[in-house]
Amino acid sequence: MTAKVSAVVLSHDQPALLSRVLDQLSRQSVLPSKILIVDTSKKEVISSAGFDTLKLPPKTNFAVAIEEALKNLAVEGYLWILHDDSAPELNALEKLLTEIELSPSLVVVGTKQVDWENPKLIKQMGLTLTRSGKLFNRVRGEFDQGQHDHLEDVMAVGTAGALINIEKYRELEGFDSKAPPLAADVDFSIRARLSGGRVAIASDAKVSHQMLAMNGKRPISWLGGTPSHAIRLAEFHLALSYSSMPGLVFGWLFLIPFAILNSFVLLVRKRAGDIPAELSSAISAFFGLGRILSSRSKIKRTTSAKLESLSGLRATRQEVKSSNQRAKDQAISRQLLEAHQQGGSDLPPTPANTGFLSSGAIWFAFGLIALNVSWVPINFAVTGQGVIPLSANWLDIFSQAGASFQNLGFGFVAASDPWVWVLALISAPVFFQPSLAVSVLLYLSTAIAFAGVFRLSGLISLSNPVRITAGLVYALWPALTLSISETRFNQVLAIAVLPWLVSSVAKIANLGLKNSEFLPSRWSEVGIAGLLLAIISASSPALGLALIGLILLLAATRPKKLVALIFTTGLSALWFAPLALERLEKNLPLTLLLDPGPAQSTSVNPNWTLPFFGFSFDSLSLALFITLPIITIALIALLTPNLVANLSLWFLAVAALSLAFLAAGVRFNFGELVTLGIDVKGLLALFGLALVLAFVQVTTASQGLKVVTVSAVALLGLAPAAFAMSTNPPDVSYSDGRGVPSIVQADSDANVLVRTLRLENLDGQISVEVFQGPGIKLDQLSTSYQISNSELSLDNPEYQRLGQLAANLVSANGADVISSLEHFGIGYVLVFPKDKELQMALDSTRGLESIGETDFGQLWKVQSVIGEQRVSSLDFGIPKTIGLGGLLFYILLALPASSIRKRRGKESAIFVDVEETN
Amino acid sequence: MVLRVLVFLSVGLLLTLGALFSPSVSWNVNFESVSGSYSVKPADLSLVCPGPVFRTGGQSGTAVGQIKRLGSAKATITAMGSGDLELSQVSGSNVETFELGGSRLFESSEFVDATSITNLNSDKDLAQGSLNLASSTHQLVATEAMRGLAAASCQQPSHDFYIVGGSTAAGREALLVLTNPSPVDATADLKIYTDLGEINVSGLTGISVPAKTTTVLSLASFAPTVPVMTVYVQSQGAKLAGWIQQRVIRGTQAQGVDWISPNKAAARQVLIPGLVVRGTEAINQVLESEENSDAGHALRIFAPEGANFTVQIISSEQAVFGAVLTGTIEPGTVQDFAIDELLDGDYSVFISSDKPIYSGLRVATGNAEQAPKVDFAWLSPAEELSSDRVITVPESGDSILVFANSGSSVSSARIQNLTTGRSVSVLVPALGTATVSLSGAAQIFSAAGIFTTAVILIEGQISDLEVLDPKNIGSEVLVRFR
Repeated sequence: MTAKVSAVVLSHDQPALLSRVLDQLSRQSVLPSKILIVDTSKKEVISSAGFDTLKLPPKTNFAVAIEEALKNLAVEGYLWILHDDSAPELNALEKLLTEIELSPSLVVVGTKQVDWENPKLIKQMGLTLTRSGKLFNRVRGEFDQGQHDHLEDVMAVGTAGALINIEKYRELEGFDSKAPPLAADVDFSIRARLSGGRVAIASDAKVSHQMLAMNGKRPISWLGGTPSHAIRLAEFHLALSYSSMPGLVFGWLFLIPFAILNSFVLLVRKRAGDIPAELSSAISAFFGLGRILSSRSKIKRTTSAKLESLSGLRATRQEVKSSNQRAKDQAISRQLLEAHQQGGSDLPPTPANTGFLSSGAIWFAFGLIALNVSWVPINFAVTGQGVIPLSANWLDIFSQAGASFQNLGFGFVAASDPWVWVLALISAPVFFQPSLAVSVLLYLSTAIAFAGVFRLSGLISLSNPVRITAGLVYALWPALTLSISETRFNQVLAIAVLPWLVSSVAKIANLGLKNSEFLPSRWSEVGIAGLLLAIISASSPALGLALIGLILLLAATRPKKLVALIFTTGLSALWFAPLALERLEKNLPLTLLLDPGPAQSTSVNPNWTLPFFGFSFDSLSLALFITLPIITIALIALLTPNLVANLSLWFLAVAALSLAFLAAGVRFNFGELVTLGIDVKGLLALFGLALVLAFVQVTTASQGLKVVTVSAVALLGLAPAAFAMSTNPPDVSYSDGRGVPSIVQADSDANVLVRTLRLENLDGQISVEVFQGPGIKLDQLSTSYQISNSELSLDNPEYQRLGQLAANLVSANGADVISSLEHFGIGYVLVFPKDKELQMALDSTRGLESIGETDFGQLWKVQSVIGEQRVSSLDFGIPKTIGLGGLLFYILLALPASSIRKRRGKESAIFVDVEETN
Repeated sequence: MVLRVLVFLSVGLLLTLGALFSPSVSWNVNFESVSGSYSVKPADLSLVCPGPVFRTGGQSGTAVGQIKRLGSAKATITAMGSGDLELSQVSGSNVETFELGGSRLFESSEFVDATSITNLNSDKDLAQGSLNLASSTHQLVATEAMRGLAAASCQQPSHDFYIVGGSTAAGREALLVLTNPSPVDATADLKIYTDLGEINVSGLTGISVPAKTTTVLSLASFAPTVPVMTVYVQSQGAKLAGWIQQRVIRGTQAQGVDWISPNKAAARQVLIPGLVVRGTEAINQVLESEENSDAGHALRIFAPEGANFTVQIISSEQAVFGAVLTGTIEPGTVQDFAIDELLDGDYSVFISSDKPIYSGLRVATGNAEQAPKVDFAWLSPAEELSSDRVITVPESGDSILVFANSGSSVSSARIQNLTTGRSVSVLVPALGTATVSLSGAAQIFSAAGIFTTAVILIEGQISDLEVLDPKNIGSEVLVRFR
């Protein structure tokens, strides 16, 4: 039996598949009246199996090929299109024709496309668009149980196996030769719909479709790019072709910005692989305006209705959501399978109870916290040599982050330290009492560091005793304990989160053991690593710079992880950019390494005692107890197997130590009184971390070595270090965070702008501090304050006058001080700590009224200075916007991707993802 | 394994060599900074003179709460500088200004109130000191209730000082005179130490001394019938000048009055030149006939931490033996040690203590034919002549500069009369004393180990003047910005 159907088989370099198609075609229950093979093969010679063949150039596109075919076929009846990778079942044409008979208004009838190998698996049953214009395949990857056989009318069908009314085809002027490959079939179906015809699926008609093009098995030129590119280009083309004229103009102008923005969204949603397609397709569409205009012209000529009339055929939100959920489940299953297959060969069986809680490591963390019991926080804000309270209002901290105006002293224009971003970030969860974050983090720092190393060492050893010992060693490593005793909160924070960063970077770079329990979400780790690196860099610039260098070095040795590893440095770069530009402009790049926070002199010297944190022969350092055994064991690690890993760790250790050695020799001399150094304890922590990991490596060599080394470290190192830690608490005090007497605080609360001059007698030196409102807070400190050409320069007459004022005040020489106090708007003079000489000097100064002793020192009121009302405003300049944008971006990137599905263009034809549900 | 051993040795060697031979790294990055030294000009040199003595109880001596100035005090002033000299009555508005014009000024004046003398713009001159400004006042009082010679060097106000001297025993009146010459109010806290230690009574703190006023307190109101005392004054706000005005009445006869000036800082080695003994016979008569134990000479020592001390009293005459005494003082207590059996002559007191002490010397002079029969002066420890100094003494009467040499060799002291320009030198034996007469303004040149005090004898009455070198120090203040 034959029908008035002309079959066209498009062939392109797939002779083996073509033969199956032709075989199936030749054995149809209803045979086409004419069968024509359109061959655009470039290399392969096909076997026509006795059918007519039309040879066309390899670059001939789909629309032209069909057009050329029709010239050799009947002028009426139906056109049945088959590809060389789509083999129809034997009754496919019969079922299609049955559908036509039942509904003569059908212009295009599509088939149920099933898997080439497994016909029970549905690959496609019609196409549609989502509400945002994305191509959507309603059914994919489902086993055929007849559950979708009720589907009939659809917006579009794929051309593989599609039966088309030739008369209507002519009316519609055929397929759009200007449309991108994956848009042509959808465009034709839509136009058929808009011109009054029907497009439906004959669910009984099945075609086994291998989808070579969508699986990337066709040459790139076939789709004009990757499948992802082709899909996105088709979406852009269709969107612009069917939009209104204003929509076209707006859409075309903002096409590339939109694609860039969407690229960030894709990155946040851990779909960085789709970014090249997003950008390249946008660029192609932008420069393919002529094609779009041509398509719009064709649409206008051949249709009479608007696309909005087909809104009922668009995919619903629920359909999209369900589809994404299925894709996610499949992705997870696939990852589990891959991980299982990968781990099966080289991974030792994962023992039970390796988690932080189940291993009992948490009790050791509590033990570390217990060592700090003598300085348990008894109030919100901690104050020490290297830490002062934060601003009471979190918005004040936020306003300072990325700000270009600093309130220190008399105020000055300079980029704020990236450290303020860190303070804003860590205090955000306790915005109601920001200083609490500092107190808690300082107090829990050893436990945080311990947990980090416990996690990190799991990439080397799965032995809980070893991991716990390693964690304890790092938590009690002198770099951290010394920083705590000096209350250098910035260093403490950097050192505590360092192992967490190294762990994330190791996972991104695929270093260490592959844990089958861990489903790698590389871009999540990139987000986490980016945040941690930025925190460390801002807290300890010297350590941050070293880490960035090491990460870039690692990236250079791991080309496949290059982008991801480089991306981890992004937030650090964004935060440091304003400061770096400023310092480079002033030719002061080295000052970028100045530690943020309260200025303190360094406590280690650049000599051979550096790795032991300094000691002399007459006074041995307690630090020796823990550093000596670990260095010795780390050296022994070089004698154990896995030489490459051990050597790499030693390279890291030596690099960190060398940098510490160099940095410790740098001295910043600010005039005759102030000399600051670079705090190298962060670098020494990196040195220690590498040694600790080498220690863990040693334990993997043999059970005996494990027992011996763990015992030795516990007895020789940990016990003395724990004793030293518990018996040398830092000199801290806790308060409610208020730093000025009540009367000054009241002025500040009332937004009255009054400055306070704070004087302190430092062994003959007079320390001078000028501040507004509630005093200088940790978030207001700026390294720019000291630097030349900034504020405290000899060129600055205001500060010279202030210096003279302070000198005259403390010497009580009868010189006129009131006019200077009035000039600066200094309403209060505060002496802290109490100093009898200063008190006598100020008491005898005319114009100063002694208020008396307060909790914050002795206070005098300048009688003639009256405060002005302060107008506060939030500085939201470019640096802040960029810094905040970067921070939010990395936070979003770091969030777990459990609800986000990956796009798998190779496995299924076309789909969209969760953004449709949002 | 061989490779691992090689790597192990290489890394070990690298670390060892690195530790031993790594060069010392020192990279200094220098910035200019406004933190640094600031020159502070000295305040104008200003001295406060006590003015006339105070009479309590009015004319009759029985009016309660009435304390008024009595007469006027004669001031002798010398100053030099390029600015002006300003004499400002503390409690009044009377201000006199003299142009110095680069030459030395000699001025005598009658003060009816405490007076502040200021050498204006002295910062433009040479280093401050008594060469720029020196002044003293003296007043010969002769009323029924008060007789004697009261003289004092004008002093620099201070925030705290000790005054060793005074008594509130029967017939003794001790008035604490606190003068605030500045425009800033002051509040004074007192501590009074006696032979029993510090006394604890109400009213010793928060004593108001308003700006430009003098506050007079009767120490008897805090420590009645205390024969031995030392007063510590600490002020908040303005600096104060302070004296104790000590007056003695024996029976119905007034027998002596004097200003007691503040001590210098406590020390282990203390010299008090100026034990000028005159009229020993009359003194002894008073001592014996009237049974007045405090009519003679006495050394008063206040030991905040307790002390074991040795006192040597050395005469200016080689042939005259002085006296030696040793003693122990409990911490925080004050004791008087009578000095008797000395012949008329000029002596100096050398005190050596194992702990820092404050001290004062009561010197009596007897005059059997005049009233009062006995007068006294309270001397404070002298300062070493580490710099040239100027002193002004009354033109009238006999004034003696008594030198003491703490050194182990003979030393010479030179004095130049600033009015006549005549100089005189005096040899002071090692651990000995020497005297020279003086009149008007004189410059005493610096001499290591030499201490001196001026004793004034007018009409048989005695008083003393300290040889001071008051100065405000211009300095460099290190200011560090934070």
